[in-house]
Amino acid sequence: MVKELVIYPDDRILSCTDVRDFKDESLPRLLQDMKDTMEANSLEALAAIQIAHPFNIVIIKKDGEYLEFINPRILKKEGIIENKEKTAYYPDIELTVPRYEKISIIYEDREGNQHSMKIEDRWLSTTLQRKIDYLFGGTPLDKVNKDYREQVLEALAGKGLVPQSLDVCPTFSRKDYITSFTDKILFFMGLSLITPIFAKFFHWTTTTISKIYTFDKIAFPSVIVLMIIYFIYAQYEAKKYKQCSSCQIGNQIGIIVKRVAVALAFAVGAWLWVNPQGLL
Amino acid sequence: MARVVVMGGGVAGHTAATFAKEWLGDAHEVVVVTPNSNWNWIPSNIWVGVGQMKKEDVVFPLAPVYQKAGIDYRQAKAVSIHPEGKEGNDKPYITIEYTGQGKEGQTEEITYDYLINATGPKLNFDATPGLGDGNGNIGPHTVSVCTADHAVHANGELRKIFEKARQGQKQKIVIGTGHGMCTCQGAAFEYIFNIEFEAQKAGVRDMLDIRWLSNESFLGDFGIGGLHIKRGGYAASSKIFAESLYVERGIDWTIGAHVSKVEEGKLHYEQLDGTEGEMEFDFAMLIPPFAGVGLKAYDKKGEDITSKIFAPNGFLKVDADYTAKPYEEWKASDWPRTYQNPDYKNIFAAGIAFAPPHLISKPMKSPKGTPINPTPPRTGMPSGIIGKAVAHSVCDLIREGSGAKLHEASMAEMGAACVASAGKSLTNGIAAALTVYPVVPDFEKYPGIGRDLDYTFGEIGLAGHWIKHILHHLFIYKAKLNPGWTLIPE
Repeated sequence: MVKELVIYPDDRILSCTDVRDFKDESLPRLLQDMKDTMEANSLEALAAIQIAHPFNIVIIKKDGEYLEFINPRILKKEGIIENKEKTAYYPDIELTVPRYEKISIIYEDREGNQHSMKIEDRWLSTTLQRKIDYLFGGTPLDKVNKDYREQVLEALAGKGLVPQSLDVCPTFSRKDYITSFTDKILFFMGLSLITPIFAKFFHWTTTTISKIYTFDKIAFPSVIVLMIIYFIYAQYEAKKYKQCSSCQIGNQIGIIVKRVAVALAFAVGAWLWVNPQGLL
Repeated sequence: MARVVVMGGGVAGHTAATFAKEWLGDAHEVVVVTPNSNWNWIPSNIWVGVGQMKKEDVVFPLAPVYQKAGIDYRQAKAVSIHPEGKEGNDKPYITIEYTGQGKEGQTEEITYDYLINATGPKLNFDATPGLGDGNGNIGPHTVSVCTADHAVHANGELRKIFEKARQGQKQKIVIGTGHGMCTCQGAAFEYIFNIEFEAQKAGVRDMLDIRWLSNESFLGDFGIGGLHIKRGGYAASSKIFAESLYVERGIDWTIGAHVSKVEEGKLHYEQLDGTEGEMEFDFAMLIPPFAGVGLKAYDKKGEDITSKIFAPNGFLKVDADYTAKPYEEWKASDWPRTYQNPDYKNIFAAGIAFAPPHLISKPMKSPKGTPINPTPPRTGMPSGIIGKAVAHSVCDLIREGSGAKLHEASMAEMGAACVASAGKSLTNGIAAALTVYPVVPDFEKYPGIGRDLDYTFGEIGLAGHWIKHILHHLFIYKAKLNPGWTLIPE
């Protein structure tokens, strides 16, 4: 029976598990459904999870023959290549993904017997790797760098394919504007510490030095205020997005403590070095 | 007055003994028998192994702590259990052989009303030729981080490797498991990333070829069949998570491997596809397989009943379903709930000392029949929880009699949190914080992946490192029985 394909952003693609019961009567039926779906959609390879059956099964059609791989594991790998590939999960998108040129796998047949296979055919090797990604709760996009992933997600969004759940972590958070602005202030605070050297060589007046010191006097409390705003907004965002690594309070405290410590060090430095009435 | 004897002073034994004493007070007696003079916070040994902590930071002497708690401490190893007593005396007892307290080598019989077996494992280095020295200790070719002393030695050897790398000599480092039936992949995982982190800091990373070698059939199995975690807004498996980390840190891997022999600078292995290989190394840390500590058991007539109360691997049989079943018939309900021995109701086990009914990971063999699969881990959190539950049961049995309801702590209904360090630094440190629920997948309750995704998640970052560091101090504080220790969870 031809089944409906799971396509992005359907996250059922991420929940797969090993086939445990080879005596289950539905197993041969599932394998046949996979083949029927491949025929109907002109696919050369399919993972069971791509038709919403959460089992570690891959079928590949090679030279007119269907190869069944149940519970496959990649044991050996050799030679990294950049492979251009398409997958039914991301419709009409071509990805360039790092893959191994040759692999050795172990897998089971539909009776549960274990086999091994050394694969030197580049197409079979990369296709199997792509499908095995699905078997372990991932997609080919997990194998590419973050910038490239965002480009692909944008392209998918251009086709109207966007995740609907609000609990996903944003790729860019508004709170990053606050840290970015704070870092710029810190950069200039740091720069201001070399004022005495410039003043000596370029004969700056006390008025000029006082103006730079005034900047330092404003910058330090500004960093503190910005970090308080950051913390409050980060708390709001943590509630908004349920799963978000950058929303962990430990990370937020780390970001705040680091910047406040640097600001404090620069402020003390400015008080000692830049301040026209300073001790040094 | 009842006497509770606890064999072992690790996470499970220490937890069981201290809670039993806390709840029983002076009305009853608690005796701890452990061959060690120190308590060791084992999760931090990996930091000793890279020189980021000293041995003194991860151990403390047990004697003053037990003296403060009113626990009778015997620095001795348990030798045998006599659950029916002996001719003319029905009182059950154990025999011990002192390893300290000025009585080294002396033996003694200690009677008990309730016995908790929390001996932990024997580090079975000799299971792999060359990994051990033939006398049960670690051999000369590799290092280990299983004990604090091993970790100190490992760091000494690692420093030599770094020094050679500084002098321009390429060095090969292999970290992983030293046998097809090992557990504790997590400790090796932490150690390899801490070495990589330290190598970066020392400026010698370019001179090191660091390789992972393990019995897992996929990266990120960790002995629990892997896990699906929610990360950064999407679910991912531990395989994807682990592979990303290994690639990011430039560490290559060999998996599905049983180390069959270790020689000076070279190891031999067999993989799940039946192929054999060799790997050269200048420094190798290979976790040994675990076995029971070799306790014997005798009935009243002095007949050996070891095989009656212990499983073939030397761990104590408890209320698990040990019926041999095929993988597809394994159930969460096979796992023990009360850890009570079925034959002798006053004997319990806690932590690594209990015999698991079967593996958690998928059982696998090479074509030659060599089993190559991780064995079930029993990390600090489950061990502590089980130790506390067993202590609770024993206290209730003492106070309420044999009809008392036993407390339950099944690993198939228990979650576990794990914080795996990948580099120690207050500002740049990194650790993966993972939670998994339940530890043993329940495919009936959670069809598909066997676990509840809402309680199984993971994050990696600086915050994880801080959590790991805070836990280090928190659990040592708790184990020292400092004020408020009972409030700190296991």
